[in-house]
Amino acid sequence: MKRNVLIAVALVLLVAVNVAPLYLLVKQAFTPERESVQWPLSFVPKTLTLVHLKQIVSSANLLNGFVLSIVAALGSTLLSLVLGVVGGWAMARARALSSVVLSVVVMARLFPTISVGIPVAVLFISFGLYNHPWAVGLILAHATVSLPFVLLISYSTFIAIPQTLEESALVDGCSLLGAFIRISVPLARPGIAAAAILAFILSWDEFTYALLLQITNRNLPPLIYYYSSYGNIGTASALSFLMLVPAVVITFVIQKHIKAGYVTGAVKA
Amino acid sequence: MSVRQQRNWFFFLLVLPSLVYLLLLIIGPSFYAVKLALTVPAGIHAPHPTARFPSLVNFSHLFADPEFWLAVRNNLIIPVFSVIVELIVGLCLALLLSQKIVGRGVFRTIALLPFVVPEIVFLIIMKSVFSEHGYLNSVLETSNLSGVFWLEPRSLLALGVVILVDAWHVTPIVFLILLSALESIPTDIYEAARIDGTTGWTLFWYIVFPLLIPAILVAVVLRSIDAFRIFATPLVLLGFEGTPVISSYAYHYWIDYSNESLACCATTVLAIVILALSYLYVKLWKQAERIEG
Repeated sequence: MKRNVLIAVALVLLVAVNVAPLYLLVKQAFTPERESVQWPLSFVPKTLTLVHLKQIVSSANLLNGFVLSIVAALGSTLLSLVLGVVGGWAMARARALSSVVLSVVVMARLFPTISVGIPVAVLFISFGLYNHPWAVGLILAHATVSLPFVLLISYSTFIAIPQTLEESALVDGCSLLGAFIRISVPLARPGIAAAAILAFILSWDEFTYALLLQITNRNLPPLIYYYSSYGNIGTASALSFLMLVPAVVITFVIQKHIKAGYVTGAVKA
Repeated sequence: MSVRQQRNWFFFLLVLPSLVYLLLLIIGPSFYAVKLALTVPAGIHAPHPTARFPSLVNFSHLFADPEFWLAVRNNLIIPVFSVIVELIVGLCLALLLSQKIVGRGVFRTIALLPFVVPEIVFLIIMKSVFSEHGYLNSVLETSNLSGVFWLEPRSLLALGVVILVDAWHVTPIVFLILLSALESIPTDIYEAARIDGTTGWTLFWYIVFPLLIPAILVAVVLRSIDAFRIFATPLVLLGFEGTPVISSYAYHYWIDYSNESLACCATTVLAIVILALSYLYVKLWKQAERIEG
């Protein structure tokens, strides 16, 4: 009996600590600004409003942030898939390569974002990629975050696909690359899809590179940071809500495909 | 060249773009940072009209700055306590949600929720929870308690808040690692323990916990390397001045003073510490494997 009470208390605590902050965010996004500052703060919304969402839709700057976030996420996903899927396949088929590549990947993952980000920003300034209106620099930076995961996921996916399938295609007169494109890639589709979704989310959520590289052409994370710093809680919350929705939906859709291993590696940069 | 060698070259060429990409955009810039750190830029006020390289002047400026040492201190305290909190909470959650309880799937999803929330999003919520006129103080004052200045710059209390907020976001990872370890413990071990009359705390401390140690070590290694990179949490909650850490110190010098040399000195120190720590882990790991094998 005592044990059941303890479990119940712990569960209530878990729900409160993990759900209440998200509830407060949604509340702030859909109530007028004054309800987010009026003392004492109320946990129950008094009036509901779409004024913050309307503000986002009518502001070129905010809409552009939304577009830039999508552009950066799609661009870096595409780039890391193009490089990583082929690379992962090569690693799976030439095992001698895999240990070299894996050590580079691990090395790359060890460097803190800030240690790489500041010199990258300095270099991008001289290449004209810094604060790029189409976030080209940010795409390149985000691809370095997602590429290690795409390589690892593709590697483990292609290793699970028997090499004999490709070999029989070779016997039938297919080239090695043809066997890869016609036989292995279609079989690896679930793994590639998981890698693509993870790459998208990594870029979508990433804060440090975005803050360092997009100084005025900001995408969503730095925009939210600035709006919150200047006390526009309603707008910052509405932007956060827009950022949160795809992240939550996508993660729960693919939850069963993500093994603990991917998640543990996907820690913030 | 044999067919086999040809094939290996072919595969090498396919993986080469990925390697070059990572070397160019991660390893390369890290070395460029070292070069910047060792360069004294030419300036109007500087005695030298041209840039000087190599020079250790930047490092001596860095090490003479008390702010930097404060950042180092915080950069040690926050990760250590954050990892401890994550381990304790993660272990409790894993033990709790491996029980047979109604709606376990839903509670597991809720336990994973913080990890799904983008970093900046949970940070601005936490700011409105802990700020002086935030939700927590609102609750305290309406229940006739006095509010607390949680985010007082440079206070230990604020450091504690940063630790808790940081831990909140990543506890799900530790929870996942420990949960999968718990579930891989064969049930006959529990049965044997039950037959011998072992229950409750004794069962946990003498049987379950020792079996979890490898997973706990994995969690410590993974998390502590990441925890040392702490950047956004103190920056968003308190600003640069409030709780400097090495990353935010470097960011501050770069963005506000355009002093890329000093910024790169700080990030180089951070990178060296993290690489050294990882090297130490690899060494210990190999040693442990030798002892076991």
